[in-house]
Amino acid sequence: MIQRWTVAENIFLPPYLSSRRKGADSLSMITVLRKKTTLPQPKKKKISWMPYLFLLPAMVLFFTFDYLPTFSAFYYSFTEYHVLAPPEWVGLENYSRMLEDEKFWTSIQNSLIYFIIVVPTLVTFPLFLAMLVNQKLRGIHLFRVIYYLPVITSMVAVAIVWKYLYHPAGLLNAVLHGLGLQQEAVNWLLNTETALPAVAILESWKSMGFYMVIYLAGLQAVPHDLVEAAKMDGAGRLRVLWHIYLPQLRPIFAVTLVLSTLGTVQMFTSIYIMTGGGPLDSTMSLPLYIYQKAFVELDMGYATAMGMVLWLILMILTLVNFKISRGGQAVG
Amino acid sequence: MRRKRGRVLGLLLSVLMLMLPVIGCSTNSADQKDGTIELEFWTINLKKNFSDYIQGAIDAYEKEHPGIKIKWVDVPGADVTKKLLTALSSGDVPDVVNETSAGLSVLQSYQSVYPMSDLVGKEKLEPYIDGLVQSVTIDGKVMAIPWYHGGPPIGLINAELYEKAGLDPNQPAKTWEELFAYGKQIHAKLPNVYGSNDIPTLESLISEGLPILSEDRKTAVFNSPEHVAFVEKFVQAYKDGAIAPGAVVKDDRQYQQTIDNQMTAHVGWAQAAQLNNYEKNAPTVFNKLKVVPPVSGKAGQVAVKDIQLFIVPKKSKHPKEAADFALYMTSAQKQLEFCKLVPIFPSTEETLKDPFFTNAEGNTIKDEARKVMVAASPRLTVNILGLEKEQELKEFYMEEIRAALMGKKSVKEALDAAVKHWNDQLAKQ
Repeated sequence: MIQRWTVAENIFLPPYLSSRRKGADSLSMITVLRKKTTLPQPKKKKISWMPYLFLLPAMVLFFTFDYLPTFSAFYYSFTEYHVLAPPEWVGLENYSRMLEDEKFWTSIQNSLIYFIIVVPTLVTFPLFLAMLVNQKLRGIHLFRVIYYLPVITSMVAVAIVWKYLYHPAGLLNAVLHGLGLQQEAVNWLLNTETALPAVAILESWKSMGFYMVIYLAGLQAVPHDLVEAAKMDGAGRLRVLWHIYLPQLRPIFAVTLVLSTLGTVQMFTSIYIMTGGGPLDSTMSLPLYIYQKAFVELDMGYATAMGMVLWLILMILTLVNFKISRGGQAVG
Repeated sequence: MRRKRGRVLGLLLSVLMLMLPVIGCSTNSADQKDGTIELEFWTINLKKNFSDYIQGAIDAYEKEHPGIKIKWVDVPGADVTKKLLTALSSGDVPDVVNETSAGLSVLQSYQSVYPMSDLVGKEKLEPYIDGLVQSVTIDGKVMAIPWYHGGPPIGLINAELYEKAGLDPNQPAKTWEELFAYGKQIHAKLPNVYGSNDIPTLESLISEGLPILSEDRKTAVFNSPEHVAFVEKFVQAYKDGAIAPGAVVKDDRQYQQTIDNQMTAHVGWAQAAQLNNYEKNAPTVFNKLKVVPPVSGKAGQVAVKDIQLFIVPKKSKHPKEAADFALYMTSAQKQLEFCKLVPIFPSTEETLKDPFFTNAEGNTIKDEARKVMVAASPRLTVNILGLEKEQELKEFYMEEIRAALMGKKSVKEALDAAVKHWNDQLAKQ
């Protein structure tokens, strides 16, 4: 009986339960267990192993296709690896190479500019959009659907359409010309000054609906009595927004800030389709550069090293965001 | 009892779920139990337009060789090398692969291709045009069987736009200088139309007789005053609208102003095979096009950057059979049949001796294209340098050229930067 309990404990109890308490040796533990068994219990309490068994397939898949490649990537980042030949250990060479790689720093700088354009847009603008579609109006659902549609449309399709909008003979130039705002057509995607903002605007537009829905859920969760009370105290619309809605939406801001930040650092598809990183690397993002190194030049070692740096940047940004938004706690 | 049954069922389900991905990953054994050999055969982008031709050839081959089955896989153009490398690293490799010379240079740097001369013997490679065989010969071994290629470039004119710009379609540009002068006139008369998308590629340097590498092939030499002067003509043309603004995109399939959207009026060097696309996608423009000889530089040569080939990966289980099938697909007769479907150029000398090429008759635009290509073929060279990381080096050069065209760097600065990068890489080889 004693033996059975010990085995059960070692296998199925979580580590924090199975660890011995200070001062207690294994014998006293067994005694405790023995005492337990002598208690008048209708049935012995067993830990069911079935849930773990059902979790196993998912865990195996996660491990095989997620964790294993991640750990391998960490190893490859210290090697020179070209897929077909075995990797060769080069220590920190890939990381020191990054310091001198102009293109790497350009892509970091570009990601920062994407961040500056996209994140404030996606944190603020969808809030106003959400307030608009939070009205009790006939047909408001239709507007919500219209604003949300770009989110569920494939980025590849959207990017191709926007490429035509930005074409020198495209709609945007035609409209600007029609309004008398410009004389000569601008080649938005082939101008080093305009290409990056052009892609950033597309990215913001496409995700707007997604953030709108998050804000909408947040707005609808704000207790109505708070708003009522403020109104009774004579607060106007702006005051209600500033003193009731915004503090209550703090956790939502934390979510949108983290998600939009991660999104901008990971920008890939729109750039790949619209500019390929050009003109002259002015739209090159770090993920696209990693892709080019890995799958065009097959420089896997260097690509995985940059992947590690990207991961580190994402971790730092998430932690900073979390800290700034005070762990996403609402202010009551 | 019921509980126990539930557990057993749960266990079975879990095991099944675990097995599913494994079953999904299992490789389908290619060879049948009756001894039939299955060869996996990859082509680049041919299924859509040439399915009947390729499938017909496969069926005929299978009939002649009862022990062999061909499994045909068509791969998008931009993906073939990536897909092949993935296949090679997984071990589940195709046997005969249609690659380009650019792809071969990548594969060769990993020694992953069977030397074709070892598989079939050099005498079987005699029917192929020497220059093309040379371009795939590395360290004395022929690594691939040349198949078709775009042929010498042709020139194209939109006759209607030419006339509107006050130019005579019967007096096409013969040199780069003329091409740019005409382009400037076109853009001046028709502000929404530009000249062409011809930019100073390495192939254009060859046409001018300007060397790329030193004679010992150890250094890059394309930053001499002659090179700079030649590229500066293109930069000026870009400013004048003789070269379209969209010519600086990275991917030449993404040009903004093209002959088929009528935003360019001519092409100095065009691929004749594109005519099929224009005919299909822009029939009204197609009727306005006129084929003319390609412009030529001082050296009179015309160069192509890529040819289509067949390779046999080293991990193929049936390399000899695979090579035999590649010989069949590239035989003079098979290539002649293919050339009749689309304006391409064969790799076998015998095909070129056929009346289809020697007495090119007919008055369709494709016949004209064939006549122009045949006339230019003695001046054709293939720009394959046989360097490690050749594609990366060529792309670096192009990116510097784009910077010069866009006015971000002077031509001298751009060419110096490219030469420095090339020499750093060449020193490692």
